[in-house]
Order: sequence, then C-alpha cells, then structure tokens
Amino acid sequence: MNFSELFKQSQFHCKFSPDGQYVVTCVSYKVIVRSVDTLQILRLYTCLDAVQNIEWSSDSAFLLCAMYKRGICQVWSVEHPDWTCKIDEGSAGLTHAQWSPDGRHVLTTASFNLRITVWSLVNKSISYIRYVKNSKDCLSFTDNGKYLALAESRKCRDCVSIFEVESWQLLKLFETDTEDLSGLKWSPDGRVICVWDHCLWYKLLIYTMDGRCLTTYKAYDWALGVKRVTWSPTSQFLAVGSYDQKVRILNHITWKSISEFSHISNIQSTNAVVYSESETKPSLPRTENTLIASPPIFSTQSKYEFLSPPIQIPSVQPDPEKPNPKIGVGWLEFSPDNKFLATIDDSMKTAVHIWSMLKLSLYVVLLQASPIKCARWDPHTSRLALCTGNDKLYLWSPSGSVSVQVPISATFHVHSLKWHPSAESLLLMSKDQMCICYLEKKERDKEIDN
Amino acid sequence: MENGEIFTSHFRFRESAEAGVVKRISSFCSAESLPHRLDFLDQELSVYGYPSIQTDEKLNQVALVNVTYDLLQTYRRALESHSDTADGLRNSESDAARFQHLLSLAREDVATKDRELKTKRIEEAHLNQRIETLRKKLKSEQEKCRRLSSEMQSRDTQFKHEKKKKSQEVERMQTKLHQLLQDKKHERLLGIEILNSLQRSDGKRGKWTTDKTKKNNEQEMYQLILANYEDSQKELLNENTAMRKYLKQMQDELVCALNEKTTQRDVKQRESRRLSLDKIDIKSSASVSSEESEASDSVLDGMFEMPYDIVKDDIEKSLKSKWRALRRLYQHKNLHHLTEEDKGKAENKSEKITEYEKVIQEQQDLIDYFTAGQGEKSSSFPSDAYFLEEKSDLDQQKSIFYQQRLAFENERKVYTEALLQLGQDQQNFEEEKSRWLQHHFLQLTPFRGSSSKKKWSSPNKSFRDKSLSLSWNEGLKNHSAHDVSPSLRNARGQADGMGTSGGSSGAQPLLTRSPNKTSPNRTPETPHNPWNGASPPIPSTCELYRALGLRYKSSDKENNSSTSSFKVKSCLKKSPTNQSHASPDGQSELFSPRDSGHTLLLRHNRLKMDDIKTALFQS
Repeated sequence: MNFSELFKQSQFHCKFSPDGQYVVTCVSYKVIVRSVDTLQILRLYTCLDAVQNIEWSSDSAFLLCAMYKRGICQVWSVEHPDWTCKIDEGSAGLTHAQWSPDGRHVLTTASFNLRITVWSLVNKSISYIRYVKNSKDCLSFTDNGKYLALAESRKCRDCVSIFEVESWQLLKLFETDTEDLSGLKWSPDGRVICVWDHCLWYKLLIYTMDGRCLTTYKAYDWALGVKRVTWSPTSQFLAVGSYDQKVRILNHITWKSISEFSHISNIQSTNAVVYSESETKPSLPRTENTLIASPPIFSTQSKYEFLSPPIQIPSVQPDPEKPNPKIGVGWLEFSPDNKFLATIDDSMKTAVHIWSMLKLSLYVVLLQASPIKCARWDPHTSRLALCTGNDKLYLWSPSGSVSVQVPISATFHVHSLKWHPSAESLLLMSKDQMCICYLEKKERDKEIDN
Repeated sequence: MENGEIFTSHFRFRESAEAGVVKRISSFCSAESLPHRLDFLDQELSVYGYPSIQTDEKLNQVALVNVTYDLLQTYRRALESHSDTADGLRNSESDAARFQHLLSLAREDVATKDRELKTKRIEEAHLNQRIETLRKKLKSEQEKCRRLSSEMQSRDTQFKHEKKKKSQEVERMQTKLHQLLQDKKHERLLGIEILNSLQRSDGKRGKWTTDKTKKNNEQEMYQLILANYEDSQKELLNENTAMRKYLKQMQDELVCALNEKTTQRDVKQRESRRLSLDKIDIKSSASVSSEESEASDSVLDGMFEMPYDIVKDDIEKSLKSKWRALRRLYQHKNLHHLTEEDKGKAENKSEKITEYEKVIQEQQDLIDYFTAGQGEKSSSFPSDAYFLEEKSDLDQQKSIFYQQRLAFENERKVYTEALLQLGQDQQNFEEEKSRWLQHHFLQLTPFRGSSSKKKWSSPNKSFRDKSLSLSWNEGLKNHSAHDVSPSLRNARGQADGMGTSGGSSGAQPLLTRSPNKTSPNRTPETPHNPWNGASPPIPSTCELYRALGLRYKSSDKENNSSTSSFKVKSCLKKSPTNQSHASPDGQSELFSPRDSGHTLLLRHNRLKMDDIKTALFQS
C-alpha cells in the first residue's frame, strides 16, 4: 500500500474522472487536473469564483464547475484547454448544476426550484423544465442515460414526468399517490421508478415508465418514515432505511418486504462477527515509524478485536425538539456484487452493519472508536473502505478487516474518500488536503489476510 | 327382660351387701373377745389421737360415747367435705365439659376461619393476578401512548420545521422579486457564452424535432416498456422452467427412493408371505406400494410442461401421497430403530425416575413430619386433657370393677361352700339311692347290682375330682389373667367406644355392646343343657367359670357339641390359646367387646348361679 504526497484541496472537491485517467482537485477558484498515474498537473483552469461544485462529464472530456453564489457555471475541456464556456443563470439564481448523461447538456436549477434549464453545448439551445419539486432527489436518469424522471408539483399535486433525454421531449406525465413526494429513483435496469413520500408519511410506490403503479408499500403509520432508499445493483432488491432504525428489503417480483434488518444497540446474535476498534497510545515511537520521514508521534495505534455477544453499541438518543432527528438508517449501500448491504444508523454513528443478502441476516458489525465520516464500497468487489476523521483508513472484506495508518502526516485526518473506478487506488481527503492511496493487488490481499 | 334381670341383680347385690355389713359388724366382736377387741380399739383410737376409752382395764363408757360421738362428728364432717369435694368435682367436671365444648366450638370456628382465610387468599390471588394483567395492560398502553406521543412530537417538530422552511423560502422569494423589480435597468446578460459549439458525443448531427420524431420517441418508449416486460417475462419463464425441472427431479428422486424401499419391502413381503408372519406389515406395505404405483402412474414426465393450473391438482395429490408414504416409511424406520442403546437409555431414565420418586417421597415424608409435628404441638394440650379424663374414667371404672370383683369373690366363697354341702348331700343321696337300689335289686336280681354300680360310679368320681382340681387351677389362672387385664382392656374398650360413640362415659358402651349374640342365647342354655342330657350332675368349678362367662369359646363349643366332661376339659385346656388367637377372625369382633362388658356378664352370671343354686337345692 502506497500513499502519494499531500495536495491542497478545498471543500472535498476532488474527483477521479469516470475513465480513471485523471483526478481533479479544486483549490478555491483554481481547478487542477492531474494524471492518476503520475500525479503530474495536466491542466490548470482558473474559475471566476471559488468553485462550489465540480463534476466530470460522462466521457471524462469536460469539467463542470458551479459557482452558486455568482449564479454561473463554467465548463472546461480537458482536451482543449483554450475552449471556454460560461453559463449564467442570471437573476434567477443557481442552486444546482449537473451534467446530463450524454455529457453535452448541462442542467441548472434556478433558485426556489423555479425551473431547470437545460443548456445544450451542441447547439446552444435552451430548454426549460418547470414545476420541479427539488433537483437533488427528484431528478433521476436511467443508467443508460436515455430517460429522465422528474418529480413535479403541478397544482399542488405530485406528478412524475418522463423525458426523452436526447430530444428533451416530455414522453409521459402521471400523478403519484403521495402527500409530499420527496424523492424518486430509477431502478438500475431502468424498468421501474421508485417514488417515496416525505418522511412524515411512510409511503413508497413503484411505477413503471408509463405510469402504472405496481405497488404501494407502507410499513407503519404516524411515525417518521423513509429516510433513504437504495436499489441493489441488479435491481432485485430495494432497501428502504427509515427513522425506526430498520431497513426493509423489498423484492423485485412481488414488491413485498422479504426481510427487516433492525439496528438495535444491543447485539445478541451469535452469528454476526463484531470487529471492535481498540485504540492504544504508544509510549514510544516505534522503530518502524522512525524510518518514515514524519513519524506520527501524536497518533494512536489501533487494531481490531473480535467481540463476543452480547455487545452494547454506543448510541445517542436524538433531541425530540429538533427536526430531522439524528436517528434511523441514513446511509445504506449494496456491495457491487449484490452480496452485502452496509448500513449506518444515525444514532449509532460509530458502527457499520454489514448484512448478508444471501442469508438475509446480520453478517458483520464494525465498531469504530469514533463516528464514521464516510464509507464506500469498492466498485468491483465486496470491499468496504471507511474513515472516521482520524489518520487511519479502515478496510473490510469478507476475509477480514484491517486498519491502515496514513503514514504521511499525523495531522492528515481522513474525512472523505473516493474509489478509483478500477478500484486500484483510493482518494483520501482531509479538510484541506488530499492524497491518493494505491492498493497493490498482492499487498492488498496480504493486508486483508492479516 | 334383660333390663329386668339387671335390676333384680342390682337389688340383690345391695341386699347382700347390707347383710355383709351386718355380718361384718357382728363378726368383729363377741362377748368373749370383748376385752381383746377393746384393747385393739383403744390402740387404734390412740393412733388417731383419741384418749383411751379404758380406765383401769375397764371400759370407760363416757369416754367411749364421747369418742364415738367425736368420730361420728368427724365422719359426718368428712362426709360433708367429701360431698362438697364431689360437688366441686362435678362442677369442675361440668366446667371441663363446657370448656371442652367451647374448645370444640372454638376449634370449629378456627377451622371455618381458616377456610374463609383460604378462600380469601384465593380470591386475593385472583385479584392480584387480575391486577397484574391490568397493570401489564396499563404498562403496554402507557408504552403505546408514550410512543405515539413521541411520534406526534417528532411529526409536530418536523411540520413546524417544514413550515418555517417554506415561509423562509417565501420571504427570500419576495425579496428577490423586489430586487428584480428595482434592478430592471441594467439587466445582466443571460445565457450561455460558448467559444464554439461542441459535437455530439456520438458524433452524429442533431435532428430536427418534428411530430414524427416525437411519435418515434413515444413508440420507442413503449417498445422499451414492452421489451422490459418481455425481458421480465423471460426471466420469469426461466425461473419457472428451472422450478419445474427441480420439481420433476424431486418427484423422480422421491419415486426412486420409494421404489427402492418397496423393492426391499417386496422381498420382505414375499418372505413374510411364505412364512405368513407379519400380516399387518404386509397390508401396510401393500397399501404403500399400491399408492406409489398409482402416484408414479398418475404423474408423467410431460405433465410438468403442462399449464400449471390444469395439472396442479394431480401434482399436488401425487406429491402428497408420496410425502405420506415417505413419512410412514420414516416413522416405521424410526420405530424399528429403537435400538438397544435406546432401550438402555430408557432403562436409565426409568431408574432415574424411580430414584427421583424416592427422593420426592422422602421429601414428602419430611414435609408431613414437620407439618404434623407442628399440628401435634398446637393440639398437645387438649389431647393431654382427653388423656387425663380418660385416666380418671378408667380409675373410676377400675374401682367399680374391683368392688364388683370383691363381691363376686365373696359370692363364690358362699357358693363353693354351698356346693360342697351339695356334694355331701348328693353323696348321701347317692348312697341312699344305691342302698335303695341295692335293696330293690336284691329283691329282684341279687347278682348284678353292686358290680355295675361300682363300674359306673368309680371312674366318674375320680374323673370328676381330677377335672375339678384341674379346672380350679385353670380358673385361677384365668382369673388372675382377668384381674390384671381389666384396666387395660377397659381402656381399650373405651378407646374403641370413643371411636364409635364419641367418648361417652364408660358405662354406656357396656350396655350397647353387651348384646353379643352369644351371651343372651347361651345364658338360658348353659344351665339347662347339661340338665336336659342326664340327671343333674354336680357342677364342677370349670363349669362354674364357664357359666360366669370367663370362657366363652370353650363353653360355646361345649354347648354345641354337648359331649362328655372330658371334652370340656380339653377345650378348657385349649381355650387360652384360642382366646389369644381369636383376634384375627371375624369372631374377634364379637368377643372383644366382652371385655368391656365384663361387669354386665358378672351380673348375668350371678343370675345363673342363683338359678343353679335353686335348681340344686330343689334337687
């Protein structure tokens, strides 16, 4: 396992290009494109203002930099550094900007969700989409990029409109049976759209593209409902995380719940393996560390230990007076091979639950010493990387779990991470710095075996 | 009749007692023995602290009168005090009885109270249970309420939050609008600034959007939807075929397994038929095999490719039958495979069970012991009281019995005297008779008379003497046995009586138990039977005792058999053993009360004796 040197970045705006050749970092208004292999600076762009969002086009040829404060977007071409493009939303304001899947259109959302403007970089044409509910969760492209589903609110009624992306033609518009639609998502195979209601009403609906409602799922009434929804990569499962600290798995044929994964702070199950991180402060810097240029004197040693149940996971009860209570499953993601589901309950931020989808039961619990900041699945295999805001990187795979100290600097605290599309390297970000961690195949296996 | 007899006997007893007193007084002193007796009296009186009644070897009459008077006075006083104490005793007895009654009442009260307490306790337990369930319900309701209220609260806060968000948005919008209205003049350049247009990512040129392309798009969408449906149908089809395949495989394997079993069974069957042993087995296996053949026939391979709703019933039926067969086989196997190991286990288990039962029994005994011990402790006083009462009763009865025995002894003396005299008289009479017979015989046939008479008389006499002595000894023995026993036997009798008639005084059970079958029937017979047989013989002492009811069994036997006196003697010899062995028989019930009814029998016997006497004297 190798680590690159540290580079500056701001606000975690660092991204690998989809083809895996480049990595882009933003330092305030400067946008730097490097080669992943050599880390040499290939391009350097200067934006009009501090970049607030950066996004690669799907073909890795263009970069979209959004400056919401100014209400403008700038597009840069990696191939032609002289080519410029500036999109100004003007007085309507800008709250969100994103690429369309074809990489030739930019979608900008005006403030107050007034409209979504589709800017064509091919023919400068402009299309407007009105009545948008919100542009983050209510906008979903199919995986093949052919269709766009958009949640709208027309005459105080929730509807879903389907657009043909190539021509931006409205193909279908249908009403949904929701109180306040708060999100929708295409299934990865593009056959159905999952629509869920606001958290005040636990309601989940499955629609086909032509507006037929396949099912309405309601786990309970009254209490706060759906928090997050995720499709499995094969579209066979729909995982619904909710405020009652449970994940419900729906199947793709009958759309009925096949399992409920409860996140209880007291684990009694003997089948699950519990890894617990134990930290020890070394009294003297070890000889290995002295070899490295900047020995992490202030850092702590940590290792995983097996715990036998019953285990008490530290949990924080949310303040009932505050909205959006910090409880319930707020993050859940399937492993790319569809074998595992990793979840984090917001009241138990130190623990990741990994559920086996073959046995529909709890498989592993990773109990960290501090709250988890970010967790990501390897894009190819069942391997989970996570960070907790310290100088360590944690990796889990079915064969074992390991914690790796970032040896570059003791002050480099990993707050976010991203996988390279080939899964050969990891992008680690602290609050103002970033580095790349290269996982060599053999070494990686060794590490995991340890 | 019987009562009359008792009264008369009682009367006679008193009369005879008075006569005895007179006799006793008169027998103390006579004219000749007066000075002696006076000396004796003087001595006796001096013992009691009286002055001498003699002065100068002469009777001081004044002193005697004074002393006599003083004696009388003291005697009266003693009598008075005696009566007082008797009254007191009676009072205390009645008090005791009252207290006993009160005690029993209190006990009953306690029992009822206990019962009430128990019922109350049960009620309480019931109520407690109800309270518990209600509490649980309440708890769950409270929990529910709490949950609901927390849900409501979270919803409420969420709502407020949303409202606030919306109002803020509205505010921001308003300000924005205001700003826009004001800054109308220098409008910013809206739109896109682009160096040069890009090519499409697929390298194709853009197309005009016409109605046709729109329609095409829609068509494409529907085609996609259709394709999706087709895909999903294909998936389902694949799944379905796989399932069908598995079903068929399962069926085949089931058939295979069952066939194996049946072939094995068929072999067995043939054997069993040959041996004609296990009929039930044949039947069951036959039914199984027939079912199986039916099942395998009914479901063909092609059936699994047919539409499911048509063949559903058949498949289900065949599968069910197969399952049933399999289950039966399994059970059969299980039954057969109750190996020795299992048996050993079972034995172990049963041993353990017996062990545990023993332990349980011991514990039970211990518990009983402890609880009983407590019970005894609590009731120790009253039981003791009963005992004392019994004791006093016994003592009383004993004294009565002794008195009666004394009287009886006296009577016996009198009677023996009379008997001796009677014997003499009879001898005289015999002699007279023999003389008269001799005289008469000599008148008729002078040869036979003397020899025959001697033959008859001599053995009889010797025998009678023997029997007399023997029976006398026996009687003494018996009597002594009786002397010792009454107190105990009486006690036992009373204990029995307590069991049945509830602790009444000693006299009552005697009356109730006296009519045992033997005594009234026999009483008239015993004197008459021997008399009827031959000329009245001299009653031997053994007969006397028998008549006195001291020997029941022997007398009974004797009466029934009505044989010679030799037999009687043997019976008498045997009788003690008989008596001791009588208890296990049913008759023992009849005999055992005799002990308690002893005094009554004595009266009877006195009556009988009187009868005998009169009869003898008449004769």
